[in-house]
Amino acid sequence: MQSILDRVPEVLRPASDWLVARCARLPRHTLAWASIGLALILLLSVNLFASSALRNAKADLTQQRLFTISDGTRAMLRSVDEPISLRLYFSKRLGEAASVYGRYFERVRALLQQYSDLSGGRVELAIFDPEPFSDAEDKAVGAGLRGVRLNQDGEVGYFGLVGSNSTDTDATIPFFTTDREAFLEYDLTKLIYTLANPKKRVVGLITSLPLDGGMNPMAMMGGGRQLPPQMIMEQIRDFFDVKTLAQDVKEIPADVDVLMVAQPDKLTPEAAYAIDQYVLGGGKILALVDPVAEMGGRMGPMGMMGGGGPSPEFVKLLKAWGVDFDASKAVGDIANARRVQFGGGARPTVTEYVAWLGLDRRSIDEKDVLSGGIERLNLASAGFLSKAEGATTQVTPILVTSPQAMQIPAEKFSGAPDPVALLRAYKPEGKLLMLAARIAGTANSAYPDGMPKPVPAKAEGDDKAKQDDAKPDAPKPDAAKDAKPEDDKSAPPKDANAKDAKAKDTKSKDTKAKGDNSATAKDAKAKGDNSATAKDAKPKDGKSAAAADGKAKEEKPEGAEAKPHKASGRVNAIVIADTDLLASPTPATRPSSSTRSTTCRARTR
Amino acid sequence: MHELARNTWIIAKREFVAYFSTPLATVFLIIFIALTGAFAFYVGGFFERGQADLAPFFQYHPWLYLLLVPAVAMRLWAEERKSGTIELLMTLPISPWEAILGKFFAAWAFIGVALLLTLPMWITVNVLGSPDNGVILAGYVGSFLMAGAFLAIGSCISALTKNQVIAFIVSASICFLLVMSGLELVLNVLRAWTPGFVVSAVSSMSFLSHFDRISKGVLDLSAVAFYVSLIAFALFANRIFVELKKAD
Repeated sequence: MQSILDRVPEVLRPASDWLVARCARLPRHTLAWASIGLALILLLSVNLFASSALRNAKADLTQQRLFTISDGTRAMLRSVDEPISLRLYFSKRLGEAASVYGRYFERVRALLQQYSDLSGGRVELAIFDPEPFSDAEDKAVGAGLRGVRLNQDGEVGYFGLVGSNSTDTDATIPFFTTDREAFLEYDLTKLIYTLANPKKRVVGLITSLPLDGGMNPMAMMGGGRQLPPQMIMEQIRDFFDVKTLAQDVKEIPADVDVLMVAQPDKLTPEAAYAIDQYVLGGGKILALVDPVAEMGGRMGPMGMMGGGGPSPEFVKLLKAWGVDFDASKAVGDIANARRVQFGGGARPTVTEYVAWLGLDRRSIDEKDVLSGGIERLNLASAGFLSKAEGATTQVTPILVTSPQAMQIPAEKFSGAPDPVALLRAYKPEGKLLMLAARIAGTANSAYPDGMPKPVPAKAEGDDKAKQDDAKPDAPKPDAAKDAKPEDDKSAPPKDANAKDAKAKDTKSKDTKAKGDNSATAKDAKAKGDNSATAKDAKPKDGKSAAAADGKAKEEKPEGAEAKPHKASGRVNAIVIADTDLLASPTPATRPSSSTRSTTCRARTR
Repeated sequence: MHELARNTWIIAKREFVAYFSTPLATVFLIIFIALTGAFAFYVGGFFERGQADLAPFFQYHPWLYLLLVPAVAMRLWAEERKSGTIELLMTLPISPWEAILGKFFAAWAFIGVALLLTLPMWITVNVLGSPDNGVILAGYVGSFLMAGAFLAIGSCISALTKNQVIAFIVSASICFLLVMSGLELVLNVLRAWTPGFVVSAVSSMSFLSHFDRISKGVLDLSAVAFYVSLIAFALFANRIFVELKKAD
């Protein structure tokens, strides 16, 4: 090899000598123009090379780094392991009619091109101009793209994206509107992510909070007002399938990848045991507990009850994993207090509300992947965690208060708390309190003796279980009556689900099945509708309640018995002592009458 | 190398000062500032847009340069040859490269001064709102680079002729072609009868699309490479033309 390379100059030298001698005899003019021609070729090739090779070498001078692909997207693109084809439709006529779209198209195209490069070619990009009456237009319309009218003649312009993966799952952006330009990367990444991971991971959700919207419990008597789902649920659903589980669930389904438990207030011992076994068996859990859940404010016998804290069964679980949680104490922190305005009228009072925390970087663990990069986090009347004595797990704080924190009895928050009085009675305790923690390590079961004895089965409980198991038999009137007061917290989410399935037209059977799963007596109608289409509604409509019941018994206990009791295992949990950070920042999600939520409005400083 | 830089610096300094000894500088600067302002405010709808940025200001720079930069460049060599001072220049103990680079940098700096005098636009927009100053900086960098490319082409054409008017018209036409080469209008005509790589080569030579990318806030290395390589090519051709024509 080396000898061949050595010989190359020897062979070439006579040739080059001959060329130089030959050229020297040419007239000056010819030489000059030839050199310019060669330089021109060089110029063109340098630019052709630069436009493809240096495409990703750039300095993003925009202050918000609009043109820089984030690390998250890069990692996601690298992890794409099946071919994904993207078809970008853009009508040139649209770009001519509105140059804004022409430029936006260039940006979308450049970004997608970059995605394609970063994915190592597994993301393929093709660009089409859907001219009127062309095949491309038919395909664009067929894929669900939305056209805009360009002129009086009814000419239609398209600017959308259709992605499909190897299993023919489609995802589309019907039209790139310029008002979402700032979220372009998020939207595109989301689209590719859903295609690359067609099977969404499943989040099991156990909660007493109206996370999925539903009926506003405060307004239920007076006509009832629908609450919109919390924004966080919509975002979770973008990436995960959410499976709502009841608080008396007997076993966490095996397909649940992550369990999210938010303020379970009536967790049955069996359900707590199920969670315990799920976690010890390697399941991941995100737990949110709150001494004063402002979002879950419900009507109790004595008027407004401030949430009331999580079920003691769940606190027992937390203790077994290594953290103590005291549901009777909330946290105040003067150093992180948010300024609120309360009291209506002409002269509202503005003061620091010590129970509403606005945490900044000093309180947030920068190194944890969960919280890194968060500049500011708002909590409302949070609780605190402390490491349990004799804990075998490693408890790493994620959120902490300042050293000036103070413990405030939770009963101070029932009714309408007085921010001024709280501020007056404030006494710094000189100790950091832990607001959220990551727990990892081996722990023992909270139920060393195995499955707790089931509580004496009441007729009501049976009915409820039956309904929760999604048996779409016609609800018995008495069951409905019984279930209603018991179940009013879990009912709203279901309502919303059923509505989702219909309104959003998210063809996914899952959504419908979900609506079905959780259908209760209250939304019997929606249930009826769904059960006809839901894929996994096992019993046929005609089946008797008894049959359905039997089926439920067949399945569940078997599953439970098949699994031996785990006395210990590795815990992988994140516990946050506040639930109000799940709430959307819209006042509409808060109960609207006579509570502090309406009288206290967070005010920007 | 040191010699080259020193002589280039001397020539550039002399040329730069020469701009201000004639009414040329005043006229050029005033017209440039008036036109950029007029285009930004009236044609670009600076106020009507209600956005705190300088996009309508930068948007018209390619078209302004199309007229104004060849006007600066046309005299660089044509005038020397017309008046015969090129003989003197070439007999000085400097190399042609030094003369070319000196003249080019002086003219480029002169346009830079014109660009700097538009800074009140930047101040205005900062008073009125809070624009993304990174994008504005990128716009200025892109505009300056583009002016350099126009200028190098103008300088090169100017070396070909004794007549300044011809130099002006020819270089304006060439610049016009380069500005237009990224537009669909031109590319569609080409697409009909040329292979794909010619179309992509032509569209990669577009002043507009490169400037557009930079003025959005992305200092793209390929766009910078485009302007720099174009300047290098034009100055190389300039060098050859000077050599070729100095005896004419």
